[in-house]
Amino acid sequence: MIASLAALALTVVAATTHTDTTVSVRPGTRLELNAFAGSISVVTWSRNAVRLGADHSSHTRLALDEKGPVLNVRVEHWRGIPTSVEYQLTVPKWMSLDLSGVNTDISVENSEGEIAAETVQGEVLITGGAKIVKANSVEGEVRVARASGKIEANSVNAGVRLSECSGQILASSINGEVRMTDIASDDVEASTINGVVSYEGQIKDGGSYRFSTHSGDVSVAVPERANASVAVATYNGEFSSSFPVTLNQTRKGKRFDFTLGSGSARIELESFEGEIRLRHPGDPDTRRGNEFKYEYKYQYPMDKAKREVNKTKQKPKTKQDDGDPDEDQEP
Amino acid sequence: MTDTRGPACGLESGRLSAYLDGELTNGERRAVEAHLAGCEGCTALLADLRRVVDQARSLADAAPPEDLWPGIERQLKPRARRTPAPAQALAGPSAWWRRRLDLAVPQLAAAAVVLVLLSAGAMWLLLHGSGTRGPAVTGVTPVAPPPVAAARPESTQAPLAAAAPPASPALVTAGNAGYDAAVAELEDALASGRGRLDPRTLRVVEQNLRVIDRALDEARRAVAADPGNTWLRSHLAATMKRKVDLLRSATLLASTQG
Repeated sequence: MIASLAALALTVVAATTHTDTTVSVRPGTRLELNAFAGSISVVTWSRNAVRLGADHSSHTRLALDEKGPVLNVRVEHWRGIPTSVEYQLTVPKWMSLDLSGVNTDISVENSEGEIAAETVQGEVLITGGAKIVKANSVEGEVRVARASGKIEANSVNAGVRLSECSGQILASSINGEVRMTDIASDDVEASTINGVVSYEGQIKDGGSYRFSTHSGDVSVAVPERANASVAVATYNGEFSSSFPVTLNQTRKGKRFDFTLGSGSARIELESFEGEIRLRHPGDPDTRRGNEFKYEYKYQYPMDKAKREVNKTKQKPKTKQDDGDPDEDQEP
Repeated sequence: MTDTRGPACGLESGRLSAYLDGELTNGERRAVEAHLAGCEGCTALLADLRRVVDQARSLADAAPPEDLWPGIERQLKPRARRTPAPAQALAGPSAWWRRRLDLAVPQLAAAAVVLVLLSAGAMWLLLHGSGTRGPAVTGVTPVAPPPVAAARPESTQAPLAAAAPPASPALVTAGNAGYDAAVAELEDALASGRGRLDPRTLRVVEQNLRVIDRALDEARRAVAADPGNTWLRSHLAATMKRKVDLLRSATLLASTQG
């Protein structure tokens, strides 16, 4: 706290200066930058060089140190008291980035390298990134777009948004929503405790998709020709679909399974007390006022689900009927 | 140790261990689960592996031994090169906790006992100094590590969690004792280090702990009402893990923000 106040005071009283320096880098070099306050803004270019621009206190000195495969942005604060620095970096597209901060907003644009961006009190915005992309914030929103590879995006107290991403996706929040659009992945897991989980993207054959929340809605846009085995589970919530589904099995509690197409992919939808909705791509994923945008006639409230299972019980077991020994069918 | 049992078992060596550690992708995990459904040998081996975790319960009363440090150090090393701590400490759960584990509550509790040991050892070393091996922390009076296995009712927990609505004691089953001990331990550790956290960040942590506690309370009540519902148990276990993970990460962040 004292350090924060001191840093703020220093920022106010100290004259601001600008650093602008460029160094050449070898292919494969990774950039590391650990900031305290301010912002980190990274853009890319085709040169094998890093340009460091920064607005900072005149008491603060910046330098680029290369040690082996790592290029480190070194900061020397006056008397060791950290101050706010606004970093503007231009790096090669291929460069891997390891960026972190405390009271720091982080943005990366059009990177093709591995990215790790982590902050406590700030937002993380990433465009691009490949192989491994990690974006984390405690208090701020996390947004990742056009990334590929293994993607992890997490926030504690704000939302997580992914768009046009591919690869293995893991997204989570505690007190925020998780929204994904235009996703091309066969392995997606998204969860939150208090918020909406929304997915719009491909459902690939053989893929695995799991969306869960405790106190929010789960909304998934299902492409028309999707092949998926869908498992729905809720306790105090509801399930509705904008297209008809035929239940394979209803287990004790509000849990039911059904198959779309060949059932190749696996989709798990879980909300303890929220609504679980399947919708057509492009349909809105949130309720507007008291109205759903999709038709009620395919909604499956529990009484209807029970009627369905009574019919289903007359049929032979289906492929999805795993017959949990510890769980009874609905009477 | 091999995990290939049974003449027709094609499961790769180490797969079960990775499964138990939550290191598999969603697809891999489901493949293992599908295999387990039809392979008695692997099912038995998995039970053996879990029993090893259970046996950790007997260690719960021990003070954190010094040789815990290498493992703790390995966990800390990646972020030791950069301070203050990145937000991954709070926002990015570790691989173990990230991945869904369909463990029953008692199994989670058993795993939590191991976490008690690790967290106690780590936090004692982090917050109270550790000679020349651990991260240097100044301004802290060395004290003995807190008791490891002292499970407490939630109503007597550290101030950080005191604001959270306590779960009904009736809903805390005996199988949760290890988990409660782990949570209590981490809350103690976080209470010790809360002065190092920015007040704003601390408020966010506390707010989110309350969010999780509300969810936990609701999930526990649901499990009590419908104990045979495996999904509810899984949901409860996942929520419990989220709390442990947030606490663990917050203590780590506190240790590096000081």
